[in-house]
Amino acid sequence: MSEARKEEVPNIIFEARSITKVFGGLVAVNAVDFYIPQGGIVSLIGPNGAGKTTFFNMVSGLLRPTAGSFFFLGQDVTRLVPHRRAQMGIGRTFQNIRLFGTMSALDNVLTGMHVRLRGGIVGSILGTPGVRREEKEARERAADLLKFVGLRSRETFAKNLPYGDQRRLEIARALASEPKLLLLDEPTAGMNPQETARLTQLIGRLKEEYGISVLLIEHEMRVVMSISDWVTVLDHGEKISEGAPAQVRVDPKVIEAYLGTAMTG
Amino acid sequence: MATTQELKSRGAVLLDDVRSSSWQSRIAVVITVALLVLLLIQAIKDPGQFFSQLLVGITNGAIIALIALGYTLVYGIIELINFAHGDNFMIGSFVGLTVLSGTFLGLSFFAPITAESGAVLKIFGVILALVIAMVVCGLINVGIERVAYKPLRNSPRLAVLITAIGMSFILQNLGLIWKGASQIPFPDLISDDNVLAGITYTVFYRWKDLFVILVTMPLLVGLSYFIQRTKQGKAMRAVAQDKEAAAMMGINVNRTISITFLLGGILAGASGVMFGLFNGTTVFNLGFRQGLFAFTAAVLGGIGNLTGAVLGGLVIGVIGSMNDQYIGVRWTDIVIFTVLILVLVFRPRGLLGDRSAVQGGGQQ
Repeated sequence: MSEARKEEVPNIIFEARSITKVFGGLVAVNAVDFYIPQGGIVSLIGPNGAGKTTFFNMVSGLLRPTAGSFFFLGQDVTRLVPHRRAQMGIGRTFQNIRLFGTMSALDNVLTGMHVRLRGGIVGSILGTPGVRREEKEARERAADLLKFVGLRSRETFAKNLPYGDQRRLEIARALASEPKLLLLDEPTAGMNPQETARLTQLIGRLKEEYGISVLLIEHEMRVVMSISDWVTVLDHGEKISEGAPAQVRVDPKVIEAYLGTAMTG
Repeated sequence: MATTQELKSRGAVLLDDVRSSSWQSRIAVVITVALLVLLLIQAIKDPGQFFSQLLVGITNGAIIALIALGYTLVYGIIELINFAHGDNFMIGSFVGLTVLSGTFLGLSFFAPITAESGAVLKIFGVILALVIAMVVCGLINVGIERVAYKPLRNSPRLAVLITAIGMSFILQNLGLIWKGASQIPFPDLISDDNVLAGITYTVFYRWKDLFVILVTMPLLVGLSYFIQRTKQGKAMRAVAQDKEAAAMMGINVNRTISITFLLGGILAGASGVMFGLFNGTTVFNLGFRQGLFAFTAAVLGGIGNLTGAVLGGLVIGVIGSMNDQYIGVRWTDIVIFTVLILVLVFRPRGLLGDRSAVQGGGQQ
């Protein structure tokens, strides 16, 4: 089934080959094959403890897989440290918001631009005209990004923003690094229905306006089903199902995994 | 502009604060007020002496503040008290001394710069000594981090702390081997004459004091610009708050930590040379006492907070000099550490609160 799909979409931006992660005696992720097509929105779902976030952390480089390898833009990135992956174009947000709390919203976004600014250490100390112009442009672009995610307060400290705004600011910060692949870890967690709807729309626009591929972890099934091109289901670290949203929704294995969890836990 | 109503409500708040305060804090306030009144009486009795002493205190404070910044920068970013920092400061003064003597490893590069040298040569010598000491100390600090702290980054914090104390001893003993155990005189390059001669003769402000301020101010302004405004500075603040999130922004965390140590070392080197020129002497265990004062200053202001470190340095400098004048030199250490204890009892996070400035510049 997945082989057939591979032929349909020749442009694969990210690929995971039999990724395994073992913590002590616990197999958190077991031999997962996985890929993301160029410009696609792929969702990773599964009950709590299925290994979604572990997988995510391995994609972004915060964890090293025990076995298997990752390819990004055709290059083996398995042993690359997080900041090198970010430089290559992998951006992410966190499940529990991790903004730089005592920096303004604008500064958070500017920090996200770090990799795309050239100004070296000497230039920044001397404040050369080139560096100054770049800083000015960066500020304008940061303001644009804040507008794009719909954030009005620029100078407020990130920690003082309302919850929904913090989530959106995290996305703006990730976008600032001009990612080709954006990893969103439960972006709608804790949001009310209106906020969720707005954010879903925003994720759709990422793909249309910036051509960014998205890997999404999400619990809110309405979001997953409405925007994903492809859904992969993990349970106990194993891939139990994948396919188009409509297919996955009726897969007996998926239903069993979710209901099984609901009954025991 | 505060209206009368606002003033009234502020007064009411103050009264409430007093009512709800503990008897300890009331005593502390009474003692502080009493001391300030005593100082004020002295200031009125002999304003010249008072202001001279105040200026001396600020100068001493500036030197302490520069060292304190090194402690606070490193604490802000990896939550480590870098005990080797004070000894790095001592190395800075030794490097400065070596540069001024013009000889290194038995090789003579130029004639020693002494009090008899011409003004241009003196200025050149001082600048050269400052720059070389800053570079050397910066690199030493980076090296220490690479060799001793980085391998232990994920170990319990106590392990790194002990390593820092070990590095402190290593540097101290290197200093002992290098220049011996006795006090070493610094060439007297900067005049002891009064800057204000011709304007006023009651306040005495030496060129030496002015020199310290002239070196410190640009360093402080530069540091603050670097941290608040530049890309690297933002990276530093980001790493201080969340290393993983920072890495996901493409920030090289290890390099950012190295830059932090470099900055701390640069400041230590500058203050080492200044201390030597200002006090006219240096010794291998200088870093212990000065480092302790600087560490105290950093804690007093709120460790991790850059503005706090400068404020703490100035407070300690001024308290020290006032105490030297009006109470007695031998009480100075006791008074300074008593003040530290009192501040920590009533404001456990220091005068300005910890970590806020490295992370983004105070409350909002």
